[in-house]
Amino acid sequence: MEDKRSILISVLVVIAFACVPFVLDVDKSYFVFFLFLSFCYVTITQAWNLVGGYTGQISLGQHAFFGLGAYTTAIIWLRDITKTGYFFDPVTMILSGLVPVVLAIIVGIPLLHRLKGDYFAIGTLGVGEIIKVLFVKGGSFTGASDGLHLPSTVFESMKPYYWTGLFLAIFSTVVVYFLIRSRIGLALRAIREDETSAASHGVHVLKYKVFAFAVGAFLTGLAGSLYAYYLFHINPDAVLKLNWTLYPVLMCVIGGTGRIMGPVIGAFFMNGVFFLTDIYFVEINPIMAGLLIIIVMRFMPGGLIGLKDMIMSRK
Amino acid sequence: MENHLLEVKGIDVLYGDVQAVWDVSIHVEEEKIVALVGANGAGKTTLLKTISGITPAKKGEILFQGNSIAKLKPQEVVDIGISHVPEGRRLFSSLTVLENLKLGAYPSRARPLMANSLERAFSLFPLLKNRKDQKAGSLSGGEQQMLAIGRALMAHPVLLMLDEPSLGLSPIFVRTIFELISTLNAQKITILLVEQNINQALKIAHQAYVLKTGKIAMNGSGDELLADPEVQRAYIGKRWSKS
Repeated sequence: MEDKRSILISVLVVIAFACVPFVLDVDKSYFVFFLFLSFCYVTITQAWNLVGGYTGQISLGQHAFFGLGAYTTAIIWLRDITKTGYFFDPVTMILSGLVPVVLAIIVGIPLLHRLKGDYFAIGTLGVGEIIKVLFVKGGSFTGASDGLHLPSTVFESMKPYYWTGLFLAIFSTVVVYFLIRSRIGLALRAIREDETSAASHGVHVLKYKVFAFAVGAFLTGLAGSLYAYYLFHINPDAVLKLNWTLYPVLMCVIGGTGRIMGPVIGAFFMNGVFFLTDIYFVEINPIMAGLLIIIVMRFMPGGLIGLKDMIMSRK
Repeated sequence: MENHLLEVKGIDVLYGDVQAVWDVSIHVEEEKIVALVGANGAGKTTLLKTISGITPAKKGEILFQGNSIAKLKPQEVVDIGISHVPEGRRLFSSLTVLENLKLGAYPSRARPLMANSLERAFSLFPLLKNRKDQKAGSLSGGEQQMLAIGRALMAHPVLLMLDEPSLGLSPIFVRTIFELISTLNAQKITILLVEQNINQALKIAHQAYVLKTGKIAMNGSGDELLADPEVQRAYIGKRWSKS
């Protein structure tokens, strides 16, 4: 019953979001831009939730996948590689998800095999920085530190961005939701709880960890691709900055790690805080945001979504 | 020639530079209960971990149903029919009871039998059925031990290895656990049991080994060892009785 109700509510919320462009002026509204960016964050945060929240592997290398996705889109477009049109081209976008998957498998096998916990986190952080250096030193292929300029004349309206963003946010949530409920998800959660024990019950630990890491990379790469279409100027400082890892981690933890709605609530909440503090506390906005994070973590260790459980258990 | 289900031949196990098991050989006959007893740090747990592939041996050979298993990974060992209930149970505590049981049936051999296995687990432990949607971490110690054993049974083991199943349980649960071990054995499951509760363990064991600082100090049938004055003095504490 509980399930049916939450699915119904989710569907209604999605329909409401999908109708926003018919109500607000998409190209002028700051609120619509806020929603668009939130959708991007939901996508990446949900990807991180699968790896960090459900599988227990704290990855700090999501920005590598995000940047790689963005660069893949830019390079395919500029070099006319797939000859499929490019602006919001599904083929380009899917390839931008798959290239990060290749990276995730190549670095994931040694990292996930050898490193655990904090060491894995540091290792993935290293991967992000290495990718950044590679793109800065990439010469004319990557445009070096100036990056790549896409033909921005194709831009007409924010509408396709808004709907694609909404689609990606829903897509990543649905993917993670069904994965977690499957046999694979059971194995992933068992690995999070106790790796040795999972292995001695027949779970091929490395295989499943790499799988989760790769799915996370795919979803993050898709978000990177969408962001490349928005930015038109793809450069290391914009798409490979550490924020693309840190914000999603923060959003996931604030929203509720290892809960399907955690990333959604966390992404909207934190992005809202960033937007509001940017308007009302211009000078001190990082301090306000930081303070809020501390308060949430102090009083709601389970994240915002844990608040519901806390209230329920008090009754 | 007896029916050796499991044969461990002259294994050495090291943790880094520290050797925990020295040239240990044991054999487990089919459908018997074999106990490994001894003081803390004698190497009993290490021996089980080596058999289940968690801590590979440096030297020696392990045969299961005649095949070498010394090089197998943990997930492969469980697949051929050896289940290990580790010390401290190591449940997936934020997963539900049902999810823990389902995970027990992960090996490809056990997967098709899932529905039957669940039924068997619930009939053995009716208590778990009532709590199937509860998180494993919220169960009492005794219930957790039952879940751990139930989870191991989901893989349909030929050989069930139990590491300190009675540790930290109330006297009633201790009795239940020992009765359960005999019941499982009656269902043709071979048991390799590590216990601190030496008195009880020797009573139900057909065969037993006493480990002392990583080496086999004694072996014999359960009754023989139970009657042995050395065992009585060192492990059971009947030093002052009768004389």
